[in-house]
Amino acid sequence: MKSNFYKFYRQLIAAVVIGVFALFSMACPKAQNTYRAAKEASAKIQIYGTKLIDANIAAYKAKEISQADFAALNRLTGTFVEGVEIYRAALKEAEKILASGGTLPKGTLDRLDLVFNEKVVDAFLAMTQKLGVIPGVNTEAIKSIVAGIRLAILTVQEAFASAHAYEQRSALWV
Amino acid sequence: MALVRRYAVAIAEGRLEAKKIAAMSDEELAVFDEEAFAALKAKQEEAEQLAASGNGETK
Repeated sequence: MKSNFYKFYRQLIAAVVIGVFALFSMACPKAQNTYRAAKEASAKIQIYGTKLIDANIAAYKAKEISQADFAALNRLTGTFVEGVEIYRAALKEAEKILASGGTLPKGTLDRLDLVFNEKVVDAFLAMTQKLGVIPGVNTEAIKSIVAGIRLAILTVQEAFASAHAYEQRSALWV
Repeated sequence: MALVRRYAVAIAEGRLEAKKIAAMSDEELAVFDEEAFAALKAKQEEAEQLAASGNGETK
């Protein structure tokens, strides 16, 4: 089942890569800054994700969360990790294009945006929702705990929104 | 409350690491990103193996 997931989303990656190329092939600082912001946020998301999974493991070993809750959290974090992998693959393709230059058809930035929101953001929200219903876990504490990932996600979304606005104004697109 | 503190410590540690990222060069960030993803996947695999073994420790 996991291999089917990867197969499907590798096809999706191919479809969104053109969007990434379109974004990051802009021959100007805007593209560089957007790419850097997306790359930094991706790294931060991975750091926080690792810390949270580690905390889940420790909590389960200490019997602070049940086996059922641990398994449910693992399914959600697994989906999150897969989403991050898909997003990282798109960023890597963008990096190649940044190095080689060139322009591609406009209007495809939306696809990368969609991948990020459907794969990374939705998986993150599902994780936080699950954390919110585990018995004994303080809701206010969870809000502060996941703030790091949320901020990184917002950074990426802001970068893409800014790039969208630039794309609409720019005369570079074919 | 131990569970709450555990997650709070995790996110605090994450913030300290995240601060270093902005100061990295593009090359350093690329290397860091690869290592961070490898660590993320390894941690997820560890969690899945633990869940499969059903090996929670006694408090």
